[in-house]
Amino acid sequence: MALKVELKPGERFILGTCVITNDNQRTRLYIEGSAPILREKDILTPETADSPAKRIYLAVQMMYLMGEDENRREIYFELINDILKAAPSTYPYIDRINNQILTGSFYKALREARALITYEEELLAHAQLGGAGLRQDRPADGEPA
Amino acid sequence: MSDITLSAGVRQNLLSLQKTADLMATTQNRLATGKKVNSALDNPSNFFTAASLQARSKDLSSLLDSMSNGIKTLEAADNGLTAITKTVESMQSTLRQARQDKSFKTETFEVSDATKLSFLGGADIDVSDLGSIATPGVAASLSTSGAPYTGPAAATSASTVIDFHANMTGQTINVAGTDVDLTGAADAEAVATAISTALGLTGDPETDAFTVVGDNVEGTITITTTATGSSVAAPAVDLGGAAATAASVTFTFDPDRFGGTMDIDGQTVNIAGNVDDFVTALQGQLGDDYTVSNDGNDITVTSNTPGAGNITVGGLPGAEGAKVNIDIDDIAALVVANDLDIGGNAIDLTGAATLQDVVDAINGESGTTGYTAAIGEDGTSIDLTSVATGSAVTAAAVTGTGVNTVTSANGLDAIALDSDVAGADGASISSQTAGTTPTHEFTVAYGNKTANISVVGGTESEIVDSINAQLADAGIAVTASIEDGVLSLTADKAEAKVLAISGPDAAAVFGADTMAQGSLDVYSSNAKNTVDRFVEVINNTEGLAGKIRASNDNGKLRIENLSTQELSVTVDNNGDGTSITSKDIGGNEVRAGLVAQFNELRDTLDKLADDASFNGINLLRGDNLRLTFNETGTSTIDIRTADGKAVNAANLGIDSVAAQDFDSDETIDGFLNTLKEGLDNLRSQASAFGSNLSIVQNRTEFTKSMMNTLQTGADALVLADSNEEAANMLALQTRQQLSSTALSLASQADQAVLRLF
Repeated sequence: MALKVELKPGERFILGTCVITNDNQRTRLYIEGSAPILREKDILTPETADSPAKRIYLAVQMMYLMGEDENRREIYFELINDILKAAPSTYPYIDRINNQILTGSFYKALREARALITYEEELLAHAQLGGAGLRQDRPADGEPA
Repeated sequence: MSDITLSAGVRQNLLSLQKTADLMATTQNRLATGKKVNSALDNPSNFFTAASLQARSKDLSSLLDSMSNGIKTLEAADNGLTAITKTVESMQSTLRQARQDKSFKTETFEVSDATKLSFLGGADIDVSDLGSIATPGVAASLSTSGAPYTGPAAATSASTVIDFHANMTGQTINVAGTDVDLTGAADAEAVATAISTALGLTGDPETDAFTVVGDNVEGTITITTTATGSSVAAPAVDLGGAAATAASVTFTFDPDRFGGTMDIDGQTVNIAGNVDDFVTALQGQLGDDYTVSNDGNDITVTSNTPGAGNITVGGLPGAEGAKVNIDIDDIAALVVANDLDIGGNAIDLTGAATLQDVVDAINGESGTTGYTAAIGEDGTSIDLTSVATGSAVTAAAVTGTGVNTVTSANGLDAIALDSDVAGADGASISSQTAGTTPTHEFTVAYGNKTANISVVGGTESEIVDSINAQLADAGIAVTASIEDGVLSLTADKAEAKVLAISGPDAAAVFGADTMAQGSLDVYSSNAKNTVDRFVEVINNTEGLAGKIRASNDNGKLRIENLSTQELSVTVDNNGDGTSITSKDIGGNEVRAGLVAQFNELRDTLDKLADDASFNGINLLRGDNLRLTFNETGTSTIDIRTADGKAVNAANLGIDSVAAQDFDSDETIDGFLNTLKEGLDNLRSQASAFGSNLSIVQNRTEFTKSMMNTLQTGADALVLADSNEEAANMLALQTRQQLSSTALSLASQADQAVLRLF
């Protein structure tokens, strides 16, 4: 069952350990095999990964492209633990990413990591709003905000 | 009773004190457990989330247990393989030791010319009457049997025999191209003399081409050629006018007139159809004694037997009279008119009423008219036929009232023979025989060459030379010879080839025995010294080569036993059975010991394989190890040896050895090869297990870290406070930019394909 990749003119994608650049014509490629494949829009580099969730995405991407490794695993879990401490509500997303990695389906793990990035954006949006709105408070307090 | 009345302020303070006390209790509780959410009342959703996290963590930890068990099993199998590999390597070194060992035992014997030796109770080895050939070879040879062979009959000459006839006198005949005048030759002898004179024969066989003999009793003249052979043709004789001739007749066939049968020389033949059918039928009915031919309608019948006489032919159509066919319109009117006139003769029809009456009336007057009448075929006409026959007879004119002439034809002559030639007696050639060359034909096959031999009659030396020349032409190294009437074909050399004779005359000439096998000389020794002869014979005997080596030890015979088994030597000192001694030469003990060592190591190998089990699973026995990586069981790995076969000596192709197997170096080399293959198998199996082990270890590490995360997450669960979380995330972002994690992530990425981006 081949993967169909449609490339616009000048688009690039990674196949295994190579970068393939398309010429100035639309191309359609059918790729079979077990080498890792990543389209340009799905690729993050250390420069473009500037938020915690994006760094998690980058870590998963490294594991996908270069295989699992002790170092990479350490980095990954460090990042995960940090983000969980900072925002425990990200837990469901983290759980799903972990599950996919555990069963070895790295491509799906990347998908879940992208969902995490989207969620993080939502969170940060709250911060941009500033203190104009009412803060949601802990009910156990009983105190007014 | 004094009511305790609290003021609003005091009540307020009391309330807040109670609240504070509650708060303190809660906080102490939380501090004690270290958890923010202690019970479902605190924060139900978080509590249950945390509980499910704990449960998940437990599931994963049991998975972790089975994974570490799997790792241990793999390690046990790996240890077993290492030990087995070492065992196989020591087996290899044992074999190499055996290979290098040459400590065979020897014994020395005193021998003389008359001594006979035998080994292991086998054949005697006797060098006393050893010439230069131990067993001479046999040259294949085949001979004729029975009556002495004289070759085929001699060639015959050609001859022609003439039957004499008085007609020959005075005639001229041609013999072999020369005319011979037979004037005055009155009998066979005279004719013969005339022919001889004409041909210039002197009676000398050397110069004459023919011999002519006349026999008055038989009445024959025989002309024989002096030359013989199948190429000689019979002398040509043309008897010319002296020859007898055959009778013949010629006649013209007319299908209309010829009747049903004819007579030729007393044979009745049928006539039918057209001229070609008639000729064919006639020839068929007359047979070989006559020849029938035709030129259009002219048919010739010739007798095939020359001699006097004619062919009598009968049944040819005779002459016919004129024919007139009339029909009468009205008989009654004719009778009334009574003017029927045939050729000027009137017919009286008085009283005639029917057609038959008219016919009768005409017939009554046939004497006058010369015509007879009959009712025609159609029943209404009258056929008039004239009595006179021949072509001169013209058809009469018939007139009368209502009388119409339908047809009118003149008479026809008889058909006669156009020619009638009588045969004449004379001489004839009674036989002509060509010369013959009888031969004997057979095919000689020797080795892979064959030759077709053809023997013609002649003297013995002629026959032999002819056969030898034909054999030489075909390149066959066989010689023919005749001695005492026996023709033999013998191979020139004693070699292992088959001489076979086949062909049409093979059995007739050589009898039933037509195949002979030759053989090579078996052995030749050039040595003069007795001991050297013994050495040569023993070393070259097929059955002993490889088991025994003989050598000359300072004038004595030394026998070396090249095997691990004992060898018994029987020495018959005087060659006549009076003084027999027996000695045993021991086998190679070093090698025999190494055999035992080898077998021991092999047993160890099998035991090692059996002992490499952990927790009931022995991968080296072919068991299957299945590890699950997630709680739902969808991600698993199966670890097993190739084809599920056990790793033991039998499957590695290593069999136990017997002492004899170490006798020859070649066998030991074969074992070394087997062991090498076994080692390759072991190494590939070990590397397969090794890669499985690394997969499982990776998985285990990941699962451990995941469990940690779950625990951390469960413990640090707080209510989703988006603002707080957002602030935390921003802080984290800033922090991460400075942290070492990011640095290492970046450096990892640089090594990868991402640097190309």
